Amino acid sequence: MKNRLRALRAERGWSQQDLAQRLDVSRQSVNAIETGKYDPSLPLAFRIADLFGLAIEEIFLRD
Amino acid sequence: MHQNDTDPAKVWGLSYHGWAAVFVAAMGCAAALNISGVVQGSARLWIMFVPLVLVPPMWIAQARMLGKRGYSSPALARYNRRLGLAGFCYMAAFLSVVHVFDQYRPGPAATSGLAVVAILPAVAMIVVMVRYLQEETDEYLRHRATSAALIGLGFVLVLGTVWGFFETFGLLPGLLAWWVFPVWAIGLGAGNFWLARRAQ
Repeated sequence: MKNRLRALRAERGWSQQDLAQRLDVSRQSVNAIETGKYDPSLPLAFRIADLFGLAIEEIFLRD
Repeated sequence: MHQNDTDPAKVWGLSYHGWAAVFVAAMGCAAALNISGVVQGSARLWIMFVPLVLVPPMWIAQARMLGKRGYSSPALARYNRRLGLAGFCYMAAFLSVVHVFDQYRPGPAATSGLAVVAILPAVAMIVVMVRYLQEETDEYLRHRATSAALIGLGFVLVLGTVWGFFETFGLLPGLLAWWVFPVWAIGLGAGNFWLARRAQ
């Protein structure tokens, strides 16, 4: 699944480690999601959406 | 020691790849000596023990390498600590049990007790892995651990099936069944390594 996580993170000037700490996950989790190698569960997708103040479908896009 | 200070991912100066190479070489030598029939009796066990000794430092080096690459969580740190301890107990129990058996040749009841002593740390290692999966809150790391375990399972099933048929037709010698766990652990390590490379 495609997503805008890298762009949203860059807009805020956060590193992957910064985002990982805010989401309480490992840096590799952020990297795997950003690169589309891992699709997060619905609870984690909601946490990501809440952090950026967006709806899930504004971050994660259909292929 | 100096190299440990400069590169925290190394264990006694060797990286994970270094330990893996030494382990594979030791496994190859031990397997060749066993299969060729050069060694017989309890010496077969002692020789196979050599590569096993290399597993804990190889695992620790791998954990350090993965931690350096951002694969870290409190549950993973606990898992590595517990697995290191259980692994050490496994080696110590294995060594002690083979020594006692060799020296004293105890009766069936005592031998059963010795077998249990060797089994318990191996079971503890499996329990440590189960607890990790229960405690890990990072879903990606949990997914990675589950995938690596499945790769290990596939590895041991394929190897066991292939070996079993070759053994049935007398082309390979009988293999002691306790090897299933170390072989699974090798598959687990290889799976972890492959998944880490794929994620880069």
